[in-house]
Amino acid sequence: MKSAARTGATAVGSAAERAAAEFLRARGYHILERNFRCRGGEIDLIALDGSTLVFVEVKVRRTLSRGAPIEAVTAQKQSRVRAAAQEYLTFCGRVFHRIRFDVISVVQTPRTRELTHLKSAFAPSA
Amino acid sequence: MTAKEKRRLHRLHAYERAAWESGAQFLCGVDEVGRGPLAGPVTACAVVIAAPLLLEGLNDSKVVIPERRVELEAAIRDRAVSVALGWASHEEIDRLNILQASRLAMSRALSALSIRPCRVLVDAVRIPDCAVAQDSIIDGDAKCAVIAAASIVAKVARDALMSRLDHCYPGYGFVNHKGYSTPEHLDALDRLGPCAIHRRTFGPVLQPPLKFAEA
Repeated sequence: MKSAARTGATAVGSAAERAAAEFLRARGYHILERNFRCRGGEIDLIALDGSTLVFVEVKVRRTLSRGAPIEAVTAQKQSRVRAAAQEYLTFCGRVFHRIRFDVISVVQTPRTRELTHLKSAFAPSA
Repeated sequence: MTAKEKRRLHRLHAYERAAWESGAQFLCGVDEVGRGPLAGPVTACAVVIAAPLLLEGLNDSKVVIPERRVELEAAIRDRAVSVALGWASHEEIDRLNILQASRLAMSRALSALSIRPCRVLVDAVRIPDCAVAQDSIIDGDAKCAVIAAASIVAKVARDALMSRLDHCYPGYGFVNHKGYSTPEHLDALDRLGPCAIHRRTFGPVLQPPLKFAEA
């Protein structure tokens, strides 16, 4: 029972990530990487906005009863995203002069999907 | 992705890292497929990236199995800043020779890009009429991630075209060998003679192998 609910959550999550990627693409961002994972953490989307490298956390909720999705990006989650970003940059070996950490919150109901893009949602260093 | 695969991909991006360190932003890999076949066009692809391609199994199109190639092609198109194909027909191959025709296809792919890259990395040859600084890398499709990516996209596109051409020119088995010289293809050439898309300047097309009567 629980695993079925979990699978549903994963499907909603990846649909939200795809929607977020399309949202960014429509605004001229280039998607560089999806679901970057490493030991330190993970990042849902990595994109290029002009010459700014943007690490994007996609947060989805099916109901607002437990608060807005953005509130689910805890300090712990932020530090996992930062750690993964550090690893990504090391792998890249490429200098980006500007880096940003954004959150895209997705409120998903059976019929509607509402995306909110919060730029510089948290700082590159804690 | 295993740590070993990550290290392999890291090594595969050595040329890219060097280019990024020297200040380039958009890197373009160019490669061509279909030099060897007896029929059909030569296909080139230009892929522009702004960051490494962290794709499991990314490698020279010749060593990736077809099913994985199709998955990789979709992932490459998803992550690339721009992707373009360039073709040179069997007639152009006959008129120019295969090397010149593949350079023409590469140059067409480059000019079809939606963005101007800062640096071009190309397998083995120099591309004519290229306004961007280019590095020619021997064995680039196996040593350089963005060239490997270009080889995969080109391979998938050419294979798809040859499979479609099988319907127009049935009997040669293009859907199986994509125009390459296989026993099935040589046998069909023997029986049917060349069709409209065969490269007339390629030996086996006009000179079917001699057959000796069995003693």
